[in-house]
Amino acid sequence: MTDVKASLAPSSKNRATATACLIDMCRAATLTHEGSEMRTLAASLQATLRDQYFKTRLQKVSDDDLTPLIDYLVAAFNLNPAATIKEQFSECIRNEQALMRMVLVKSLLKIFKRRVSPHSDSLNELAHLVKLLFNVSHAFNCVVRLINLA
Amino acid sequence: MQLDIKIIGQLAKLVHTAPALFLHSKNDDREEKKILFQGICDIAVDVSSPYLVRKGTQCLITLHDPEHIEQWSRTDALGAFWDLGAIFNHSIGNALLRRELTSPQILEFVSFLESVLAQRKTFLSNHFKVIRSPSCDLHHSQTM
Repeated sequence: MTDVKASLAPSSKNRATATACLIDMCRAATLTHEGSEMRTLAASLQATLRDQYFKTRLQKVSDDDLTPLIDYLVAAFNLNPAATIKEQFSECIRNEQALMRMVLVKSLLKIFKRRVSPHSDSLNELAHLVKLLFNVSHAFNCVVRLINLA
Repeated sequence: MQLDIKIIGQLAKLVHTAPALFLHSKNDDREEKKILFQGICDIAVDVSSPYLVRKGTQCLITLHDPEHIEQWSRTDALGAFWDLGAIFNHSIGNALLRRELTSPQILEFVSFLESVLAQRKTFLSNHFKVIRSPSCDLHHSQTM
C-alpha cells in the first residue's frame, strides 16, 4: 500500500495506475457492510485521493482525470454521503474550473441512475447544491455570451 | 461547444433522472425555486442556441408532469402552481411577442406550449377532483 501511495506523486509514471487502483478499492468497499475492515481502509484511501484532487483549488484537472474523478466521487458518496456532499461536491462548485462542475453533474447522473429517489437524509443538501450548480452554469453561460457579443 | 452549455445539457438529463433534486428545497423555499424556474425559462427561450432551447423545453415539460407539479410545494401545491407558472407564462409569452422568432421556431414554441398546457390542465383537474371528492365533502360538512 505504501508503494501504491508513493506512486501517486506527480512525477511518478505509474500515477494513473496507482490512482485507478485506489479508486477500485474504494468502489469495492461500497459493496461491503458498514464497519467492515475494507470500509475502514477505504476511509484512509479516500483521504489520500481527496488530497490528490482537492488539495488546492488551483490544481489543474485534465480530461484524462474526468472518468477516475467521477468514479471516485460516486464511491465516496456511496461510502459517506453527508461528508462527500459537504466537502467534495461543494468543492466542485467552488472550483474555478468548469470541468469540475461537469465532473459533479456526471457523478450525480451516475449515482441517481441506480437509485429511485435520493436519500431523504441528504436530499436537503443535494437539492440545494444542484440548484446552485444550475445557477452557476447558467450565469457563466450568460457571461460568456455577453463577452462574445461585445 | 462551450463547457457550461454541455453542463446545462447534462443537468437537463438529471431533471429526468432525479426530478426530486430540482423540486425539493429545505423549508419549502419558494424563492429558490423561482430562481431555478426563471433560469430554465431563460434557457428555453434562448433562440441563439437551439441545443439550449431543446434542453430547456425538455426540462420544463418534465417539471410540468402533473405528479411533479404536486411537488412544486409540499404545503401549498396550488399556490406554487400559480406562482411558478406565472414565471413560465411571462418568459414564454415574451419570447413569442418579441417577433425575433422564425416561423418554424414559433411552431415549435406553440407545440411546446400546447404540451405544457395539457399537463397543467391534467394537474388542475386532478387537484379539483380531490377537493370535490365525496370524502372531502363529508369531512367539510363535519367540520362546519
